[in-house]
Amino acid sequence: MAESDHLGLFTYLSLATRNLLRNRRRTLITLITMIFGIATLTLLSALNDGWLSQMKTNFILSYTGHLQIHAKGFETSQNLNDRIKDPEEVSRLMQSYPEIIGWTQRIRTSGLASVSGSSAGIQIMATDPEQETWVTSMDQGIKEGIWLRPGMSHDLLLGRTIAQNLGAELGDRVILMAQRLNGEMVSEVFFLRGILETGAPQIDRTLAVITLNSAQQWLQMDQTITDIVIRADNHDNTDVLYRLFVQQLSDLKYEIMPWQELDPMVRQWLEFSDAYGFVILFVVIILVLIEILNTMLISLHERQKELGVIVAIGTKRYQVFLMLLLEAVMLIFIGAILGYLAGSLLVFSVADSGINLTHFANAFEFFYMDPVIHPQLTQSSAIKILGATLAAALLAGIYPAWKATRLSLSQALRIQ
Amino acid sequence: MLNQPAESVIKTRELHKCYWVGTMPFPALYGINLEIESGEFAVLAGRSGSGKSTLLNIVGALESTDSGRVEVLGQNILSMNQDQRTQFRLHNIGFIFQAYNLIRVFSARENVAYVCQLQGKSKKESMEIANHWLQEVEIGHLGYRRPDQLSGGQQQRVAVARALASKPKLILADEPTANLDSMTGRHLIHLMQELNQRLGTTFLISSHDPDVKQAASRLIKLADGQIVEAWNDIPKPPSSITSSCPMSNLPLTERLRNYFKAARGNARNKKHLRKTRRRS
Repeated sequence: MAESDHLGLFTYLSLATRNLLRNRRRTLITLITMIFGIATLTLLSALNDGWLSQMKTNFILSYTGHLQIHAKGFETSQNLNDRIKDPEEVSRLMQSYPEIIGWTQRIRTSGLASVSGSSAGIQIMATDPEQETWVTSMDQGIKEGIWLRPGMSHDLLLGRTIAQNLGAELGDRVILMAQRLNGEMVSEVFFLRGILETGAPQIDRTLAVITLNSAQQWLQMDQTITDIVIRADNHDNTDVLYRLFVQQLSDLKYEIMPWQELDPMVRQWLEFSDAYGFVILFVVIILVLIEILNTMLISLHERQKELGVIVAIGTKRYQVFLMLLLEAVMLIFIGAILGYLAGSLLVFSVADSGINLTHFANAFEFFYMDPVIHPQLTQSSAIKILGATLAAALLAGIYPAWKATRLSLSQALRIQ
Repeated sequence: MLNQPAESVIKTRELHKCYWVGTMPFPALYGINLEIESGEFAVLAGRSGSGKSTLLNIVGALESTDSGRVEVLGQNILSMNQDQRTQFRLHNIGFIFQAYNLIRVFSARENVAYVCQLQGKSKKESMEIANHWLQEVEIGHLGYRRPDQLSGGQQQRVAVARALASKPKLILADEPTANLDSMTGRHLIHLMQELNQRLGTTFLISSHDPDVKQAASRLIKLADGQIVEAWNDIPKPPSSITSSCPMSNLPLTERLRNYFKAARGNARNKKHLRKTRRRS
């Protein structure tokens, strides 16, 4: 009977476009609402990505680096006996990975610091001062005095808070006490050469930095170390390097830890931020969905008779379904694209200057955040936003389209 | 074509239809027996509420019945599912509505071509067919206009062209002249009559317009859901068309009782009643 009952895509698109244009004001209001919603979502998402990225960078550059290699069990025991006995074996690998832009060797141990009768528990970090500048930005965190130089065997730096707590000033004698490999407690006199801020207050409360050579001599560790700290050229390469090191150092001598594992609180905070981003996405998408659903249902109500007619003259119900669904998808698609573009413009306009939240600086410091947030557009957030919007379009379009297929023809045709 | 052996285009037997508003039944058709032959220009007349539109909708496969049998072009349309009915309408029936009911967002030409596209013809071919039919109804020069840029008469001509474009064997027109002034209405009737004679397309028109009745080759008068009078080639006396038991003079309670008596005997009728009641 029929050659084919297929309406071309062009006809569907043409119908959808014209139906959207038939009530221009309503379509415009719906589009403006959507554009506002998607633009806000894009900006919030960019802010989230921006401060998460800054937070990662601050955390990584303040102290931890992207990856750390320890002797197996050191991170848990914090015992000097769990040390890397042949650092060169690991260090040789560093040359072969272009993703690594810097690495340093450290000794980490806890101890006690005394200044003029005051004493406090400290975390001693011994490092190669030159290599350290390739890995972290601690040298730029010097607030008073100078950064260490090779050969400064009796000099140290203190975190700002511990220095304040001890009442230490530049040039003061600071007596450090720590345990050697054999368990013997030893003390040594150092001179305070600098006071630094890492950007992480909890680190600044306990940090004492001395040179690697002086620590190796003082603690009788020869050429052994506790940490190798690595900086990658970007955050995304952390996983790549992690996998490579796991393959290369697969025996049981070493533990390889990416930055996320070194501070569980930061990891939890990042996960929370991701969840928070999803909540915002969900809320905005629900609002968009309701808006579109409302528009489509009103439109459907107004066009009942016309839909009845087009079914009466031979349009199949699935074709009516596709027509209405395409209309909703087209409306949301246009709104999403325009909204994303508007959001992107907003992001670009403030990306360089950033959004200044200095007023809340104390709250931000704790989480390695800068008080000025630079929003960032990322591919993943674009996919998330546009993907969620498209899903919303389908959801918002399906119900009215399905409802249209359930129209009673006789009732629809009797509408005046 | 009128001289060819007459074949039945529409055949109904004991057609019953009742609408429900809440729990209140409103019988619309009661025992309609009707036979329309190929090439006829038949007119259903009767007051508002007499069942004309309901009968047209049922014959046009737009609405179901409570009981009875309907054959259009030899096919039992009541046994068809939704998609089969749609397909049947697309290829066999053209519709003309009182309020023209053109697709607002399409031009006149696109409105006509749309039906051809539904039939699977290419856009180009559909447009050519649309141009042809718009010329046939004498508005070929207005094809690019949207419905809101056309007068009522012009819109109804587009509707006629749309109805004819799918080359249907039957055209159902529900009060086609009701929204037109008398002069335009007469032109439209003349046009439909001319197309009926030239193409042999069967027309079944519901109308209370005297001009339409005058043009009819057969006039079927409905009252209270029954055929009460029918003439072939006016003013001939009633033909083979029958109504099983005229009851327009009976009181409403009696008519309802009769209706349900007939309806109860039919299992299918019961099913439809339940469906209708549930919907309402």
